[in-house]
Amino acid sequence: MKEKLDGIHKESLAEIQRADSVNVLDQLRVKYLGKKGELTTLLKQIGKLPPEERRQTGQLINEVKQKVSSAIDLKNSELVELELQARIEQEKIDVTLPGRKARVGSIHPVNLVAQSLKKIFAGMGFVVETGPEIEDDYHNFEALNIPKFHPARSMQDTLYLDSGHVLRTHTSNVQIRTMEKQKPPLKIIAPGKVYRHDMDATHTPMFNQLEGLWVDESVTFSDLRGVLQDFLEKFFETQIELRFRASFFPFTEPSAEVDIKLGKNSDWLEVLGCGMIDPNVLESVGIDSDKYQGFAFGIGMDRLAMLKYGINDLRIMFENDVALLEQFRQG
Amino acid sequence: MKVSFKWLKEWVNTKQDVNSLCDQLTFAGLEVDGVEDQSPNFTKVVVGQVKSKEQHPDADRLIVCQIVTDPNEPEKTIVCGAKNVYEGMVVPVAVPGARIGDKIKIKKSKLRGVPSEGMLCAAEELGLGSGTKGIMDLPKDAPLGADFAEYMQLGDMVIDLDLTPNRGDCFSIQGVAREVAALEGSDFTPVVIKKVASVGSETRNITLKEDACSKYCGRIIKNIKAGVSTPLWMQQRLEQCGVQPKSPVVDITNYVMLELGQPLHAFDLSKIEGDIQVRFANSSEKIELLDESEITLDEKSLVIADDKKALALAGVMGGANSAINDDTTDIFLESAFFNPESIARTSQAFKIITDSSQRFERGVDWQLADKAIERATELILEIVGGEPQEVNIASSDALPSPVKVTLAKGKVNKLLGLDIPSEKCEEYLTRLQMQPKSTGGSWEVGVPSFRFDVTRGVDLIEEIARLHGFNEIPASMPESSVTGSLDDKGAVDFDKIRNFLATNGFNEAINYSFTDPVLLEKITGNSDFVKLSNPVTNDMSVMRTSLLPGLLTSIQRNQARQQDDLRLFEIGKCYFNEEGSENIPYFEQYKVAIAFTQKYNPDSWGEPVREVDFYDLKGMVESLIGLSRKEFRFEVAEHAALHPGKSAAVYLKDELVGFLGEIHPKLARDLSIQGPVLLAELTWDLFKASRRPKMEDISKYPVIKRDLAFVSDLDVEYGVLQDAMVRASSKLLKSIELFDIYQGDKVEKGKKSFAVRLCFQHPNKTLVDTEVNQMVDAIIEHLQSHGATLRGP
Repeated sequence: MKEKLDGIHKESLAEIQRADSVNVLDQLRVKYLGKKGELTTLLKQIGKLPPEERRQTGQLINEVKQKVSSAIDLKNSELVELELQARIEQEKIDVTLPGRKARVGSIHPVNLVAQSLKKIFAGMGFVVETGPEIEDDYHNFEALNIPKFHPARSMQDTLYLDSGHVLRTHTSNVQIRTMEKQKPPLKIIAPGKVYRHDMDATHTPMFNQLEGLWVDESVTFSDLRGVLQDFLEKFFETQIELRFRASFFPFTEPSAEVDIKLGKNSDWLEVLGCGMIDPNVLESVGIDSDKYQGFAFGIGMDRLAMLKYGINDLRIMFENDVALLEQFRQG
Repeated sequence: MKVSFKWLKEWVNTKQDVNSLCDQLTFAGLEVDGVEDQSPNFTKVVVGQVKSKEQHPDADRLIVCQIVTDPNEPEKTIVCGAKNVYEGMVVPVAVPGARIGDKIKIKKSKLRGVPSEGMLCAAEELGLGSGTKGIMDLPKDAPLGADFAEYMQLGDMVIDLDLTPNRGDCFSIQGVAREVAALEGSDFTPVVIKKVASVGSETRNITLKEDACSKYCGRIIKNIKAGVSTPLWMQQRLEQCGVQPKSPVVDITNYVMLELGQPLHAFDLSKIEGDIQVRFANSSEKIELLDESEITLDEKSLVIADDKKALALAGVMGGANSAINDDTTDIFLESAFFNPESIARTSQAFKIITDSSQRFERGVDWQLADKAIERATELILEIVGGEPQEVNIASSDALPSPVKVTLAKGKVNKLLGLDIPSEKCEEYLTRLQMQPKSTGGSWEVGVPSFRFDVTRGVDLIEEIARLHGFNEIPASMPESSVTGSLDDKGAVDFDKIRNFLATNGFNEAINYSFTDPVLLEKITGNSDFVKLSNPVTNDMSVMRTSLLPGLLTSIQRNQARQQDDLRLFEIGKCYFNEEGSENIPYFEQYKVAIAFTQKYNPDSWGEPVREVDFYDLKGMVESLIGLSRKEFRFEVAEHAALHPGKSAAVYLKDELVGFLGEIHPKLARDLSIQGPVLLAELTWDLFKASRRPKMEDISKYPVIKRDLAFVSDLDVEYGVLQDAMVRASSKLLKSIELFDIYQGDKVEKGKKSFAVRLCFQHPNKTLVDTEVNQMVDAIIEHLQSHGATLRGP
């Protein structure tokens, strides 16, 4: 019996070693360890032995059973691992194929500028205000110190309606609209569309402005410069050089045009007009111009967009070519 | 306005070169648009004299001249084709080695066998004015052998100034020179204007229109010489300043205008019948102007008239009926002060802009008229001679008077945020020919009549700041108690929707607010638009009432560039003929429009391509409106731009807030747009004040799902059935998912089947079958009453 046990032991280990799949291994487990398995059968025959050998033989058989079982388990985990490995290899894909992308859209560059300016000015304490785009003569001109037949009217080619109303030529109407309703101190910005009868390589009949206004008891020309310098640097995210040129706007006195330099070697670029609010404007909305003073400025947002993003032609701003728009996808 | 640098230097003793002067002017508010270098286009042209001329032996049209260019050198033989050459004539001579323009190079040569050592030059060949024909006839005192360019003082720089409307005082050499002198602190050296002694007292009576013309100087000059031409130097200056030379008297009036800033006019005296009246025109009175246009005047047009007729559109342009010509011997010279507004009105009304009207509407020094008429007379006598009569001056109380402005000393630095000492302020003002007189805490400042733009203290502060230099002003940042805010109070958050749509693959478009009325009517089915009275072009002549014309135009443009699969949106105002806010009789309303075209996804190895359809758009709209957390519903609707079978209206309660659908096939055809194109347009009101989220308890208990299939007639709308299911259920029905719709062999003809998954969940217990069955039964029963029956096994 001992020889037989040794024979089974040897043969079983050899067979387990040869097994090449979990299936084969399962069959071997039945063959040797199952209810009718060879080792089980051997164990059942133990009663036929003399009583003094039974114990020892039983022990031997159980030891062999243990070893065979362990060998099967070991082999099994090897085979499972191998099979998983094989599956993984089989599942390999070409990760360089293009993915299924989500469509990502974009915000128009002018509105990106508007969003950025609103955030910057909110941080500086300005409040956003709006006003009508179809405006009456009073709010677009008269109250801004531009009487009828003033030569300054011909500075702006106005688009008219039959009723005598105009498409606002600037966002400055919001200055008047706001000061009519609120008393100083006032710090507002007013972004929006404005219109002129003008169309060529550098003018579109509609464009986008942002008006700024600060009225208080002692806001100075020097403060105006400080606010402009600060916002322009935040907007362009770089240090800039800024210069003022004397100019004329009917609603400010003194008035200035502002040029900036974006980096040492760049040219001076004209970006906005500004000045101290003309006392006539304050008086037209019932604000005491002896007590209060302040500044106003107007920026072309289209021009800022062109400068910030390197857009080289104003006219393409409103053509809505997706080849342009898609360049402004949001990250 | 164009300024000759040489001319300017006669008036002001500037030490700067032209470029630094231009910078200074620009920073002081006289913006320089450009500088034109008028260096001569020739070299080696000298002054010479014709000693003799003979006919060319072999050519009828040529002559052979002997020319002296240097008394110590032999005469030069030059062959010439011009007819005006005479013996003793002084002429410009291009000698061998000379270059004229880019092409002509002068060499010794032979013309039909006769040697020629140079060329006699015409003015036009040398780039000096047009109009005169033949070889230039130089004054007899021109120095022989002198360099012609130097002799003519060529090589000027012309500065082009873009004047702001407030600086009418700088619309002349005198004005710019005054400004330069003030900015530099250098000497202003004006021409001395003397009163010309009159030789007679013939005159015409002058009647004024007080407000519109408060001063009028008139002078008769008799017996001027005919056949005289304007001196070259004057022609040259006129041309440099952009004025075309015409005839001596007209040129002189223009010259004085450029020099001093006072527009003048000369009438042919023989054509004036009786006295001079400055008056408003009669309605429908007509006048033919110098430019040969005829205009019909109105009662606000100021004219200069005689007893019978209008002679000139005052301050704007003379009339043809009183124009001077080659036969004129007696002239009536006008130098007047007109009210700027009156001239601006006429100029705008008749759309006539002249050198004169531009100056008058900005304002002319009210003390200049008498000086200018003397200056013009002096030049007329010098150039065409004549017998000047006494000047007749009429003026009225409406003429401005000297202005004194009070300026509180402390106000200067309070406004500028600077610390300029009082003495410095006084120095600046004095340089500007202002007369500051210190009286305690303020100045009384006498303002010269040419600075009519300065009327208030703040105007003086600007002048001080200009002379101090705007760039000397440092940047400072004030304290402020105002808190900033991103949103316009109570308004809609545009950026939320912008961000949502951009994140979902849409590109934001911006179109013009005005559009083509024909397209707009086609798209809206309405023609009540806000119209512009002076549109830039016809297809931009009405204010949009819908964003769709703009988006469709953008689609066309993109498709023309082979960009077909588009997702576009626009957010912007539409404009209506209804009472709006702020007392404006027009209503402005924000809308959001979305366009989806052609393919939903790109051609790809990974999944099949499909085209966009109504439900892609609807889903996007549902998600977008969902942001408002408000209840809304869709109803079948018609819209002029949309396919009648594929369009819906969106309602918020009972308010119509938008449309969506596929483009109407006819519209797509008319616009040559390739489909499918899905469009939606919603009003902004929808999104106003969205409800704040409020948490609902989350159930821990299992969701019970039941799948059911129903059969109904084909024309039964799912929306009706879904409403019915909701109404038949309690809150325990969490969702209804429509997961299949079927039409075909397996259902009766004319019927369709649809399958829904109902999900039930209880907030605080596990639902048992009997409870769910009851709810499902109720739904089945309710659907039956709406024409849908449970599909048999």
